[in-house]
Amino acid sequence: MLEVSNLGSGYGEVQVLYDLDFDIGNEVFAVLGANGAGKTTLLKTLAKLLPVRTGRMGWRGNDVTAVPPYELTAMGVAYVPQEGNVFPRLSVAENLSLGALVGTRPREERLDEIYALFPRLAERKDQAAGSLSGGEGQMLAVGRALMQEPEIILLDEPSAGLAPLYVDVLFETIAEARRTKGVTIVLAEQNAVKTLEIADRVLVLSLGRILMLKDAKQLSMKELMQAYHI
Amino acid sequence: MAYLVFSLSLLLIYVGLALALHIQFGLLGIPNFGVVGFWGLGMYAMGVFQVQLDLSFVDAIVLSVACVAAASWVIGRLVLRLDAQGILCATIAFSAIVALLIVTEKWMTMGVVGLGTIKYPVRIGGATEYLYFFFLIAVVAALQLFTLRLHKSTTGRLLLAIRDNEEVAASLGKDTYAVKTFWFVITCIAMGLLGALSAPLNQFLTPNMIVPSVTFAVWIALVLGGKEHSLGAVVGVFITFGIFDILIETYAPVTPELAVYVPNFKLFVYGLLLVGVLMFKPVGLLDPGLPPEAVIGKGIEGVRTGVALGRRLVASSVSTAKTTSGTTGKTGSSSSGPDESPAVTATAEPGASAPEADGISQAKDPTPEKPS
Repeated sequence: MLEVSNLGSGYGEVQVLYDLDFDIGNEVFAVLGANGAGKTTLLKTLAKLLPVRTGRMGWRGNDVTAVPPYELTAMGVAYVPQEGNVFPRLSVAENLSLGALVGTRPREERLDEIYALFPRLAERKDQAAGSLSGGEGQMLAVGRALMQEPEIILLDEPSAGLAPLYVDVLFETIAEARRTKGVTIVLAEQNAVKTLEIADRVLVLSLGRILMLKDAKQLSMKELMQAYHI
Repeated sequence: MAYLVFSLSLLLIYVGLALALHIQFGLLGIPNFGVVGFWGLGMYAMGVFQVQLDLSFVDAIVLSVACVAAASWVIGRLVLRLDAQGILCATIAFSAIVALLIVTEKWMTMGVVGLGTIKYPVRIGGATEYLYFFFLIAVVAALQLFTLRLHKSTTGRLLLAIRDNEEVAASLGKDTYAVKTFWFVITCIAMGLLGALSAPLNQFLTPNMIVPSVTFAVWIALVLGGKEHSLGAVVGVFITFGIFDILIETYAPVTPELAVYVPNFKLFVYGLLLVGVLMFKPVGLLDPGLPPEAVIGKGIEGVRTGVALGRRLVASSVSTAKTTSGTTGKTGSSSSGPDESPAVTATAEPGASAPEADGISQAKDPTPEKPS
């Protein structure tokens, strides 16, 4: 579905990612690594919010290396950033409606589906997004991404800063979205334990390079701790 | 009465400019400090096309708007990827360039000599100014209705999303730069159109109409009224231009000695109001969450109170004028005629204050009945 070869990226003059090679199918693809490993940079590059410096990116066999982010979104790639991922002054319903700027099905139909998946958002649909709790804000961001009818969602550390109870609910919701919508999920996370519960494959990054790429079931905690330099 | 119609026409122009700025800054977050540049370009283009090329009103309007559209597209492409400070500096520079070119390109603009006479689209004797006033009401009302609809539309929400978080908005499937450029050009076209429509009001154009104080007056009105509310522009302009430039400067029963201080006093109160609003209610007088219907209800109530107050002020002004006229008659002074109210005399005094150098304010010097 999404292929990456010799991918390099970074900010300004600083190179963060080096020679990444992998492809993502219809699965939950986890990206793990310590702080500064390059998880966020990788997701931003996949969303085309950062330019590809070296290498190539492909989407369903087409070269999308030079495609701008809005075209990639229209092709079916949705991105949910780690922070500031909702529009605080717009209501929950308005935030979700913005997700319907792409896609073909009627907006109301899509809204009903999202409210069924996230009943908490339905209860607060007229409330300003800025007044939601951290967990509800993450649900809203994921909900808006699902409104885009994507084939793949890039989720950047959705559990960051959330209370443990909310983390459980959030991961259950992500798994539920995967089951009901069949959408591919690329999940960059710090919470390795919860991630391994729902991931099919795991990419571990270290200082911008691939340390290992394995099936989640084959990855031992010992290997993971070594990757995190613990 | 002709002067009142003239002042109210200028008020409508200000409302239109503030509405266009509301879409640019309040919805989209583009700090355009070159309002007078786009307004002035439209006005002078109208003058050049009508006076120098002898085109009809409609042709001149269309070509003036085309000029502003082209200029704003170029400016938009150049500056809309910059941060707020960059856009602010670039738009100020643009308005300065427009003002400079009007002075230097004498073959086209007649330089400091001035350009005129700009004709109304139709002349029906004494009713011309009134008809034009109703035409301006229709134009500004259309702009206001468009703004109200934009606020409730998905496009309006997309503009707010781009203003609040452009990176996330870029992942919504729309080219944010193209959206910003499109709306910047559309709103600059509105400013240029209002400039072109100002030309017949002023009849004679001079370079000192293109001054930064026009931009600042529009900004102050918008910030006071509420930059994010769909009716903030109207409320702000009515408070600043309406109350001070029309009601107080024209109708307040102040003596000629005190009237000379009114323009400076006005600036002082503007400043005070602005500081007060920024300190205690930074969103402006109208909260963004306040429904427009509630504001309109309160507005109707306020207009009723204002009309009652105005009647009392006018009655008081007339009685003061009669008393003054009686006194001057006794002393034999001939400084003011019996029909002149003291406040009008003071406003017409040349070089009374700095703000009178502002193009719109200066254009208030009544020249209502020029021979056509």
